[in-house]
Amino acid sequence: MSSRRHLSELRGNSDLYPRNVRTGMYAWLFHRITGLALVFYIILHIFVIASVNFGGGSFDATMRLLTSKPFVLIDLTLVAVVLYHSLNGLRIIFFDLGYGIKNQRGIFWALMAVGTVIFVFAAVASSRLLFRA
Amino acid sequence: MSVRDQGQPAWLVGPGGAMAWLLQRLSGFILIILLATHLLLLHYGGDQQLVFASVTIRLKTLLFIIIDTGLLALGLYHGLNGLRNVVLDYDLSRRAGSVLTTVLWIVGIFMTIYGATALYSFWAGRGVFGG
Repeated sequence: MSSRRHLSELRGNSDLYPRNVRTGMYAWLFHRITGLALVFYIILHIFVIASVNFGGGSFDATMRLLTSKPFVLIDLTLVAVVLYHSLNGLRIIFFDLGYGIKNQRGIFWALMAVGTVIFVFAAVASSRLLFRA
Repeated sequence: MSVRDQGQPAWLVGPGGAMAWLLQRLSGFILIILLATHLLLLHYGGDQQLVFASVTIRLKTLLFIIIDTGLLALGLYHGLNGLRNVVLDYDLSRRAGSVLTTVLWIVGIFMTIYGATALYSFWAGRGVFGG
């Protein structure tokens, strides 16, 4: 099959070039974006925590920097990203097991509601670090 | 006959295809449990200021060694396999796909070993590179 014909078939049929972009499609796209952000983050996280390889003092200095206010705000963003990827990931597992596909949109928004509640708890807990003297 | 001609997405065909799909679901599910534990205990449970001394004490417990090693290895597997799924969606040749898989395995194994050195530093109470 020529690659040109292959590409035109992709544009016509494939998930890569969808014509009908609605909730489930955005859920898929955002799952990708958050996933790529998280794989970048986990590698960064390992290098940062490995500052302990240069001694406890080095680790404690790194942790003091990371509990400063700008980093607490960045971490809250990370919590939101992790919550989205976890909850939507659960939704994907349900579908792969054969449950809930017909109600995929309702399940998506229900899980987002759960995520919002958990995020509010995380934000309130973090406010101790954000509003300290 | 190439992978493309069979009308199958490349990541479903051959070694590391269906098994990679299954392990992505399994590792994802386990990661939710491990990560919830990790975040609740380390960031939302205690005094919120992690210090070397307290982490050293925590990592003397076998359960935490298992949880942290699991997060390290499964997190990297899930993340790099996910990255592979994203890249393979963009219609790579079979050869490019194999090169990608090999590179990601090397990155994953290196990062797992490097992360394990950090866990060892906590467990031993001193940095493996000094300090």
